Parts: sequence; C-alpha cells; structure tokens
Amino acid sequence: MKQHNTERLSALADGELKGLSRWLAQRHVRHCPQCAAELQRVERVRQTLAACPPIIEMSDSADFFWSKVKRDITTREPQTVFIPVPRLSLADWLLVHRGALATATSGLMVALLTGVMLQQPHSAGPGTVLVERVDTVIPNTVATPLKGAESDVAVIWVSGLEWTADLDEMKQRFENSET
Amino acid sequence: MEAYGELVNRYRHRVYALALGMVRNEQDATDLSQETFVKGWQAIRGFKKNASFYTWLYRITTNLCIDHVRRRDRRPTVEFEEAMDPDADADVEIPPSNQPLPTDEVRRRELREFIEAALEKLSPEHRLVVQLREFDGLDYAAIAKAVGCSMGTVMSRLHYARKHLQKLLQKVL
Repeated sequence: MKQHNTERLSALADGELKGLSRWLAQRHVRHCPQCAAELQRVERVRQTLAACPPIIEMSDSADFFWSKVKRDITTREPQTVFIPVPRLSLADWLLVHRGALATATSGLMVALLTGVMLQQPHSAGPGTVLVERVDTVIPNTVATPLKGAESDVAVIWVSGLEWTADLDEMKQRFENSET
Repeated sequence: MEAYGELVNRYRHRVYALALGMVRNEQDATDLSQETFVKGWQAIRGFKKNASFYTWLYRITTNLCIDHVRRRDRRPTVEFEEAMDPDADADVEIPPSNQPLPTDEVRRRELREFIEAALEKLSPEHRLVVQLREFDGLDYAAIAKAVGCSMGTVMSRLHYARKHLQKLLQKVL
C-alpha cells in the first residue's frame, strides 16, 4: 500500500485482507502515522457499534406471524416469481477463491513437471551395463565395459593393453599385441 | 407448505432485524418481513439448493427495504424535514434527559438511541452495509451477494459509511 488507501483500512480492520495485501497494509500502517490514526478511528466506530447492538425481537409470535404469511400466500394470485440466486462477479469469485486456485495451480504444475521428468529416458550409471557378448581372439583375456550405457559402449578394454581413448589406435595396439 | 413454515420460523427474527434496521419502524419492518417470506414462497422453485437460503432471503429483504425507504423518502413531509435541516451531517444530538444517568442500562439505552439516530442519517445503501457487517457479522462476499454489488463496492460503502459515522458519533467516540 504505497499511498494512503483509506478504503483498505476498513477492510484491514474487518479482517478482509489476506496474504500479501494484508501484510502490505499492516506494513504501511506501521510506518504511516496518518493511516495508523485512521485505523484507530475505524476501530473505535466498530467497537462503539458492537457495544450497543440493537435488541430486536419481532413482537408477533411465531404462529401468528406464520399464519399471516400463509394467509397472504393463499389469498394472493398464485404466481411464480423469479428471484436470481445471489452470485459473486467473476472477479470477486476469483478473489474469494484465490487460495484454493493457487493450491490447485501449484498441484497441477507439480503433476506436469513430474510427468515430464518421468517421460525422459533413464541414463544408466557408469559400470552398470550388462555386456552379453564379447568377441576377442586373445585367449584368457578379461573384457570390461568402459562407458555407461550399453549403446554407448564403443571400446572394450582388453586387459594387458595400455589404455587410449582413440579407438583406431587401440585397434592398432591390439593388432600389434597379436603379432 | 409446512416445511416452509419451519424456514419462516427459523429466519423471521433475522429478516425482521434487518428490516427494522433499515426502516426504523416496527410495523413497517413486520410488514416487510411478511412480504419477504411471501415473495420467497413465490420464488422458491427457482432457488438452487447449493446457494445459501439466508443470503437469498437477505437479497429479497434488502431490495424490498431499499424500495420502501426510497418511496418513504420521496414523501413531501420527509423532503420538507430534510430541507429544513441545514446541517444534516452535524453531530446527532443526544436525546435530552432531565435525570442523571442512574444505571449502566439507561446509559446503554441512550447510547443505542444515539447510534440509531446516527445510522438513520446514513443513506439506505450505506446503512444496509453497516447493518449487515456490524450487526449480522456477514463477510464482504456475503454482503456483496445479499446486496447485489461487487466486493469493492461493499468495501467502499463501508468505508464512507464509517467516515460519516465518525463525524456523527464524535461525542461518544
């Protein structure tokens, strides 16, 4: 509440401001003596009215009042009147249900993100591939996968050979070791 | 129809209180309450179960009361009184009393009369929102539904009504 929005002070006193708007209004009141005084005046009016609520009881007894209503209903021309059910405007409806809407939106976002993450392919950790077949002409050698996913395995380390990342050179070394 | 009688019995005091707060006349308030329930019966078929019956009844009552107050205020005698009042926004006079205030009850009664006199100086729309908020304890959304306006309008009317009441109740605040 950057300016002295005194209308919002009434809403603040009534507990009608929620969340950020309440926090902003309270913060403004703490730093603005003018609005703090106005809020006090609003509170005083509310307290004065609350201290003396009207004492109201219908003098007609329940039966007598109902008999009068029933008489009116039966004596009048039977007619159907349309009185719309009171509704809030869309803007007010959104305002009233903003908490529920925020929760629903957050839930939807979490569900969407989880779905997207579940759709992505798994990447296997290093050294966890199962090598089903190793072709080697060297007797008594042990083959070890060097890269993570099975599809990525390009080089099989043959024990006894010095490691190099260059596949061609590795082949060359292998051929040399054979000879 | 007897089931409707149960509803009438349950809500008659609240409807009457609202009507009396608006029109400040017991006989008129009783008549308006009666009219509210007759209209409610005539329109009950259009009522949807998921809506609040009380808010719906309030809507009928407020419409009837505002019409009544406007009709009454158009009468020449009232206009004359209004015209003769040079300072309608001035402080409401506390009803004179020859005796000192003997008990708290008397003091409260006088304060109540003072407040009622102040409320009577408000416009029907402002009086209505004050009544619904301060005495019936409705929140802004329920008031907006009952009165048929936006919540922003409720906030604005309440604000200006309270500003007006601040002036009128200066002596007791």
